[in-house]
Amino acid sequence: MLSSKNSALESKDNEIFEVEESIAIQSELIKTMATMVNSKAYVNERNQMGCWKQANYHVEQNNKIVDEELSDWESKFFEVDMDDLHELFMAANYLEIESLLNGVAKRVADIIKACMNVEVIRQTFGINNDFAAQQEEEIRKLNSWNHI
Amino acid sequence: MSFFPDEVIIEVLARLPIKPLFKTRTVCKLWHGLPSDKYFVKLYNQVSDKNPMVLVEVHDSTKPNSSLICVDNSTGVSEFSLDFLRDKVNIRASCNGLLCCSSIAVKGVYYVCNPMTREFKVLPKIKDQNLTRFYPDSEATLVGLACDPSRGKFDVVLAGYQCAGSSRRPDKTFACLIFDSDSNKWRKFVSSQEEIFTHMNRNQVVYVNSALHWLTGSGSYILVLDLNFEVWRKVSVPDETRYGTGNRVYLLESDGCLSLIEISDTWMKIWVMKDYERELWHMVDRVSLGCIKGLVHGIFPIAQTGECVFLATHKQVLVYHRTSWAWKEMYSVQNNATLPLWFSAHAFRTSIFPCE
Repeated sequence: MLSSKNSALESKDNEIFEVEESIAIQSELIKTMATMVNSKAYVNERNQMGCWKQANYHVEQNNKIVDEELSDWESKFFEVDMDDLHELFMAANYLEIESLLNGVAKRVADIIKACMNVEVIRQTFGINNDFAAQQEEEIRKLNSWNHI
Repeated sequence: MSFFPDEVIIEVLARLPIKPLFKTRTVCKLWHGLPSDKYFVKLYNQVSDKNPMVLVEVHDSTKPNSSLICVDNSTGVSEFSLDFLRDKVNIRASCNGLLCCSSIAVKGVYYVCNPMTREFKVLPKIKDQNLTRFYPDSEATLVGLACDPSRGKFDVVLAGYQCAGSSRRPDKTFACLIFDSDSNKWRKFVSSQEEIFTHMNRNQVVYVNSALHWLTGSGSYILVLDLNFEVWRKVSVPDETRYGTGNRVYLLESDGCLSLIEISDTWMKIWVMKDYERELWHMVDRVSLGCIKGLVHGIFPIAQTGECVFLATHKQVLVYHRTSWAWKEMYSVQNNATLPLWFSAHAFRTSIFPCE
């Protein structure tokens, strides 16, 4: 049976694991669901583990993570490829874990900042260019102070 | 279909500094439209509110011109330039992402600009010369910028003692000229004051609750210009800071509230006025200055949030993190600075506030 302070979470691929309640309620979604009976959250297992690792770290730090400095631990945590970042983001978004959302958003923003050109950004994020060539040229001129 | 859903992209782009953000406008139509989208701008400003910055003019004796730098926790130190104004200027006030600058060459010419987006507006010259007879130096003593992003407008305030008629002596009338960006006009009202202001008092004007605030030279109260009712008021400082303690006191903003930072030889106290209506001050922190013993006499607080305080000395910009009790040097002048960094340091935050 569950120890009194743990929540049981079942992932999409039917793995069940226990998470300490104080950590589980970092997720706004779980917090709300805890009041409902027979509810299930659908996230795949690998990212559940990732999310809870990160949430655990936050609770340990008593949420004292200063916003402007991703601690060493978090920097390493987010050094994963785009697929993983995407999954983390989707999990964080769905489970509504703010600290994780913030961390992934910052990491992806840093990746964009480091991107040297627009075409690479499009490829990395799988975005279609919906500008006509002329429009794109006009915008580039307007932003010419940016030395694109 | 894009790899990341739109709401996720928006959270990501809201964390980009302005230059790379504008660079990404050519990626696609959605990204292009974001800086003009109300929801995105609000989110962007919410994120940048948590990232305090310090703008400093560095006068390096080995270089002919001074340079402008921006210091913050997420990007460190970066250079920026106001040369898009095509005039040599002094930064007089900073508020919610905009700067108010005065022309060095031509007295009476003021600019309001967003140094990150490089948009600017030249304020109309005040036609009636009688309105601008400030004393001394023919320049306004107090310059304030009240930038209100929620109403999409700003006001510029020039206030000071005026000379009567053609005499060069002050007649104690305290004139206040207000420029309203909505009407694009100046208006004036007069009152009488007996106050003096130090250099730091004048640099550290705070805009909260629709009013501009300046600490007075005597340190006994804060002078307030209520922009809604166009009246001058006084707000008291905590009793503990008022009575002859010999400590230095500075007025800053802290997360939308008035804050006073009191510095003695060995500690720094941070006061915040959490209840503006009842003028109630709370001491929220008492920081030991043991780590920076040698710097204490020449250190000045410039910008802060609830998480950290940025300070400037003659040659350095430091940050103190309140939750981890850690001090960090963010910037240091390489050569001899002819003017101390604190002399021309302003609190700043980036924003996409347009000013044209």
